[in-house]
Amino acid sequence: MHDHHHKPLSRRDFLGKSTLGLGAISLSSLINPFSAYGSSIGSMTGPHFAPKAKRVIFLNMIGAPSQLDLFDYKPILTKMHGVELPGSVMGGRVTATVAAQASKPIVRPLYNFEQRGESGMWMSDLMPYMGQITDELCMINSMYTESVQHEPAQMFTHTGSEIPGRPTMGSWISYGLGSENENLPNYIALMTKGNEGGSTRLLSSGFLPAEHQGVQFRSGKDPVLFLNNPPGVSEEIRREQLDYLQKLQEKNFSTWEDPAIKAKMSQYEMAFRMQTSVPEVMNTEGEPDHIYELYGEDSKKPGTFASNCLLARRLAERGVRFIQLYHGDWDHHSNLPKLIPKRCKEVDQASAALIMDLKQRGLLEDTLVVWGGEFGRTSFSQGQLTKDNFGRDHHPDAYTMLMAGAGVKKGITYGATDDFGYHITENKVHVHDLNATILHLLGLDHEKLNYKYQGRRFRLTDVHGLVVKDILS
Amino acid sequence: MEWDLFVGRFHSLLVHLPIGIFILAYLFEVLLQLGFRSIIPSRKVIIVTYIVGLLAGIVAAVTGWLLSFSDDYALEALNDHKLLGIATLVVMALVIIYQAKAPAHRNKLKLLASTIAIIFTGLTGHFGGNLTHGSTYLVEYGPNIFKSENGEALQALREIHPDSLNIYTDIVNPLIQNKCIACHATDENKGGLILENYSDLFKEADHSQPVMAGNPDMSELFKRVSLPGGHEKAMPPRGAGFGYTDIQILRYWIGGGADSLATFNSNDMTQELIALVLRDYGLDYSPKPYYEKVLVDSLAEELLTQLRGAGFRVNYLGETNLLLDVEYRGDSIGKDEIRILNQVANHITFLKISDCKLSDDVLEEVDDMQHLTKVDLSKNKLTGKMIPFLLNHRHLESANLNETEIDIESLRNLLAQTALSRVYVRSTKITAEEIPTLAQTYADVEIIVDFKFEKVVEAKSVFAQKETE
Repeated sequence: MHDHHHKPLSRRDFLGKSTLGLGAISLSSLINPFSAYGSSIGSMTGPHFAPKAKRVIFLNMIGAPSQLDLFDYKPILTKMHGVELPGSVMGGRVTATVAAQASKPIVRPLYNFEQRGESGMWMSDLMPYMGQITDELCMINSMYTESVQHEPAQMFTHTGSEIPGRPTMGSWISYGLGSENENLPNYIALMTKGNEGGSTRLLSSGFLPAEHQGVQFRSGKDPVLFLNNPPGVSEEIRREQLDYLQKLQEKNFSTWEDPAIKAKMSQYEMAFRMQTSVPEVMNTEGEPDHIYELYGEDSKKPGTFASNCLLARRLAERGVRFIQLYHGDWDHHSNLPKLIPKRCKEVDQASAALIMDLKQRGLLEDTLVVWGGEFGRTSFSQGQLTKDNFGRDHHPDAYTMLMAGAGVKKGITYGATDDFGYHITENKVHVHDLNATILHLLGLDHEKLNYKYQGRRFRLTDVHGLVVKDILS
Repeated sequence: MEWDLFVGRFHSLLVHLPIGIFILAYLFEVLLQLGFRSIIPSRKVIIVTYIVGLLAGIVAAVTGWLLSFSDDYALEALNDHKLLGIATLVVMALVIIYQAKAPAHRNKLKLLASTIAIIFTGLTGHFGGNLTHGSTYLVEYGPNIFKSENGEALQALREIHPDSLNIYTDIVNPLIQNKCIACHATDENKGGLILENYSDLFKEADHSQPVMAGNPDMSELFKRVSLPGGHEKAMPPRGAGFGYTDIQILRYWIGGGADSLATFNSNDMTQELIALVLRDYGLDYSPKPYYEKVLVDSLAEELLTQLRGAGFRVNYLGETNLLLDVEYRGDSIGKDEIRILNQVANHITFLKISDCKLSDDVLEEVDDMQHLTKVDLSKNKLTGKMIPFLLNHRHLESANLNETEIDIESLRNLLAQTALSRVYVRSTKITAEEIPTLAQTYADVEIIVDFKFEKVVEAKSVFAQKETE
């Protein structure tokens, strides 16, 4: 299929505008030289209003970590451990997976909770490092989402729609703000090796131009697939080849004036520059020992979450707009007591280290860090509750996300759930609200950042989303 | 029982009688002029009607005069109405005499006389209406053109920059002039109260002092204007009272000391007051960083092109915020680049000149940037000589001096004089041991150095804890 959407005038645009005569086209381009192209080309020119953040690092905990064991402290669960969760608490809201389960015994948080820092933010012993930096964090305990299944819920967090096909948040941001580093992609993803969690579908630019798609950087010799020259092709040969291609494309462009040609050429050129810039950013050998110590032992092993956190900081330093980290295997339907400490150990120190490393370098002034999964988990056990084992099921009605950095209040706990962490009682924050807030921090009005496709304007927040003003500093 | 006021209050009832009769007489006059002799056979009909109207008018005037002794009306407007009322009766008497004495053929002049009389009647009625209902009553629900005066006042406030708005001069005093001065001026100081000047607010009147600085609830002025409209002590007694927003502004102003130079301060305004002032006066006091409040003119595009050509990354902060975020991208900056940078000095709010061999000498060449809020000079061989540059910028919030050669003396010097909120000094000549005492002395400033975690003891799950027990 040919791509009609990135041409100066799409078929729809042409038919739409020529109904008023061709004069209408020339008039509209006189009034706003960009509007003749619809909004369907390249990217916008910059933020709508003064931004607090210039870039975002999103630490995705794929599989949905248990907010009740990590962040949202509910002492009643301890008191009522093993007691059947009252139907009055659930209010008839039971997820499909455990609907048939006869008994729903309450499970206490696995580790002790403590109030930490000057803010007195509650955090579990499972997060001893995050617990040391609570005064930098904004904890939202009143998140809720739409889907109870992983894939749609992840897609929803990323695109504002459960169904694949829409642009992901990073693509929207890249489209809205453009690049600060012409040698690196604007939107980069790092996945924990062997525990990726995410899929490349979560990096899709949907109907936005493909240059706004997320690029996955891998650990090891070949961080970006197919970036290096094939064996036998030297840098000079590659340069020469590109120069010839450039000439051909110029000719093509003078005939068709299709901006997609220009876009393609600039991507070729970026790929060429990336042959130098990517190895440079991915090579952490020059990092001093105390930085490795900060991120933890794992950070020396390429492909670990800790190593990726260190890379995330290096990418942020170089002005990359949107950096997604993925770490999977948080889906603890059973065996939670054995599994959750492992996951926490993998991410706790590195997540906290990333925030503090950004801070000590002054990067937290204009970098926003977001930490969380696609939904929460139930306060009752899925499957049998034994002496030392239990699981928790998916729970989209209440969960926790953490934020830190540019423009977000520090050391606050926002929103609240009932005594059983089952329903939200105060300051609900929908995924659309969170996404609207992230865009707001970047100086983007989520209602204005739209893109016309198939005859309608699309947004990251669909037709919803309210900026959570209460958490803005 | 107060006879005068009891009778006086019948004024509102009686006053419509002469008005109706005068209008009827004028209708007869017009009919006569148009030649309807079968309806109005003689001018005598008109004259008799006028005389009956005049008598009713005198009764109305007397009751009105009695009513004017009550304290209920603004003096100035009352005088207008009173004088016009008397004038109307005099004019009417003259018209009657003229109609009776003048020769029959002077019909046109007689119509003119009647017209003048009817205009007087209308004006008097209108002023009387304003007196009872307030001057905006008639057109309150009309199209906007009638309300321009009010709108202009609002518009004028919108044009004032929120930081330079003076609460007393721009809001409180105009309110007093508009709502209180009619009865509380030197010539008509009802209740012994004069509100002509700022100092009058603090002079003891008959009841008490109108404004007690710092204490709105003890201030008679605040107490009276915030009473419900129907209360017998509510002020002003007639016409539109103080709006809710104005009452809240008054409370804020008096509460804050009733200073004649007071301005709004986002930090001590309630959320509600911020919202009200924004809604009613278009003034935005929501807490905002400095760079969101400053307005600067646009720059010539060629200056930006020149900057970019010299190796700077330049962005406007937003579509309408024309302050600049500037970062030097090259690896070595010299005086030539600084000269180009200086051309836009007064537009820069974020400046990053990091890791590009910036020296003290070159930094000295940088002009003062009046709106600079964040500066990043990290990874340059800068010494304490950069402190004067930092001190020259009074809106500076954050300074990144990581990996420079700043020493403890210079930092102390900076902290003693600056309004900075955050300063980054990791990997400088300052050692970690020197920070805590400094941080204690300058608690308002966050001094950021290398971060280290505390040692962590591995926690045990509650199940494991039970097992060990």
